[in-house]
Amino acid sequence: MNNNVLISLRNVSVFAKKKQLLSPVSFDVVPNTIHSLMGPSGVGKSTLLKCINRLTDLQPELRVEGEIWYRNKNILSPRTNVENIRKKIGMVFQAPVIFPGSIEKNVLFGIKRMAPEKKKDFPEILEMSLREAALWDEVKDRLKDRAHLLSVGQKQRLSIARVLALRPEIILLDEPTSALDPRSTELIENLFVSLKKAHTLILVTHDKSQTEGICDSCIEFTWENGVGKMNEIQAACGTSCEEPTLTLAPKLETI
Amino acid sequence: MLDKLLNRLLPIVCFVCTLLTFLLLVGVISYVFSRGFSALSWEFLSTPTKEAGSAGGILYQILGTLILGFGTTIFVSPLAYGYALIHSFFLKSGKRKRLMSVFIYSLNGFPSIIFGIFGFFLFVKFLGWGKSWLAGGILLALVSLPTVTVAIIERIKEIPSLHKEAAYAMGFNGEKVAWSVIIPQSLGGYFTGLFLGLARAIGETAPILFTATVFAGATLPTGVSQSPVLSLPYHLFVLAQDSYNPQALTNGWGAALVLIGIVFTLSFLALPARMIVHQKAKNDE
Ligand SMILES: Nc1ncnc2c1ncn2[C@@H]1O[C@H](COP(=O)(O)OP(=O)(O)O)[C@@H](O)[C@H]1O
Ligand SMILES: [Mg+2]
Repeated sequence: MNNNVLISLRNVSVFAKKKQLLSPVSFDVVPNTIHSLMGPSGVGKSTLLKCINRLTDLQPELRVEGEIWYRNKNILSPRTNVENIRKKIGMVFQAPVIFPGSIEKNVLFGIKRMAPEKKKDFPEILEMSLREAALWDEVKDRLKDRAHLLSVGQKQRLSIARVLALRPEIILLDEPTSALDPRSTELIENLFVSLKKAHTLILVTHDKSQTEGICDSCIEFTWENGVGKMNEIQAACGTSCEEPTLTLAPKLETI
Repeated sequence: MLDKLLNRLLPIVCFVCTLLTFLLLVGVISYVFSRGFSALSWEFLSTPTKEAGSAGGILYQILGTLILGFGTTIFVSPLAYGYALIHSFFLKSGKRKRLMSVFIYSLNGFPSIIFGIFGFFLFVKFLGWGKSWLAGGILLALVSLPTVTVAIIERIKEIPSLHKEAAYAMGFNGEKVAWSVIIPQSLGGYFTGLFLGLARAIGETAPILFTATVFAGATLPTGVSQSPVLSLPYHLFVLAQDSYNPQALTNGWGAALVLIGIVFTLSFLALPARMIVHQKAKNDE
């Protein structure tokens, strides 16, 4: 496989029982880029995203065929340890996910259970993740406050901070700004561009201007006989991608 | 024509039924009040029984009932949570889930005297405990198990599936999701069910009759075997049956009033627990 490819989908198709939901999809994702998936509602974008972290396992009626290569491993192989994969591939959903409790508790929600041995680094991880999610300045004086009191835009950044706390290499984003006001959307779009330095982002979006504004490459889906299908890969799109970074992801210092 | 008449009648019938229910409850409570209120005093609550109930108070009956409630809580909590988690979280298949639902609802309709007799053979005879507060706690746990379990199950159903997905997406396995998402977010249902279940269980006589309680001669238990407790329902049961002494009867009604007081307190505690649940559900939207 090409050294400069982080994730490679090979003929990935999805069935629900007998019915096909998605015709075979193949594309590569280059490290330290934002890769967007676009297309009409119901075409299968969320489902494809969930194939990449095997969240499709939660719906036993779904069957996924094909291969998804990541670091010489086929994610879709039954032998793959899904928990390890999901630690490396984080996911942000359309609606913010806020667990009952404080802001701090929400940021550390995942790392506390996935890496309890790092307990002494938690304060540092907390601050770093909130800084990375562009939320630190707004909440640094009220980390113990209930997270439910935040605005929707802040809640979404908090959801992102919780994912960042686990130091994922790849972040899957399923229409993360579609529930937000334009100002919060702009803030989060800028955030994604800055996250690109250390992570690779796969972004499902409805918003063409979002794709053109911040994404480096883009796949479009359409309908064909009632089944979702991928259009030809389009060349790099938007303004921020004149020189796609050609190096592998520089790893942040592991804490 | 008939349709219209029935439609008219429906609210009236409902109103009458509600009124009857209300009157019945108020009637029972005020009757117990009128018969037993004169027995109540601080001394009555804080001294042991004397002269087979015609003098002294009901201190050890109250403590015995609380001890039975404590035993019930210890046993019903893991049983109910385990059952609810298997039913509503770990099991995917519809058939086994339905079977588990049928089972827990049947248990709810189980005659409590059966638990008593079963307990008598298991704990008193087979295990040789004699009468024991622990046997009473275990049997009353079975009595309240359906109430607690169903309350937890109902609350688990309300947990947004997005919360579970987000937890799995961070690499959590099923056990971690259970500990971090399912259990904390269903605690409100657990407490509601526990208080309601306890309110029902501590008023029961049949399960503890042969297994856990005596009329006289017990104070605080010191171990498991041969350690019965006194209890409010059994005290009432005996006094109401054989007492020709009017003061003993009044004291019996006094014990009834205290029992009703404890039960109402528990039901009352269940209310805020339920409100917290609703508040949380609202926040999650
Ligand atoms: N478990 C399932 N069983 C059957 N159909 C499903 C299942 N999950 C998703 N689908 C269908 O797959 C299609 C794609 O859904 P989704 O991936 O959410 O689309 P998108 O994110 O592009 O809007 C939808 O038509 C949906 O109804
Ligand atoms: Mg979608």
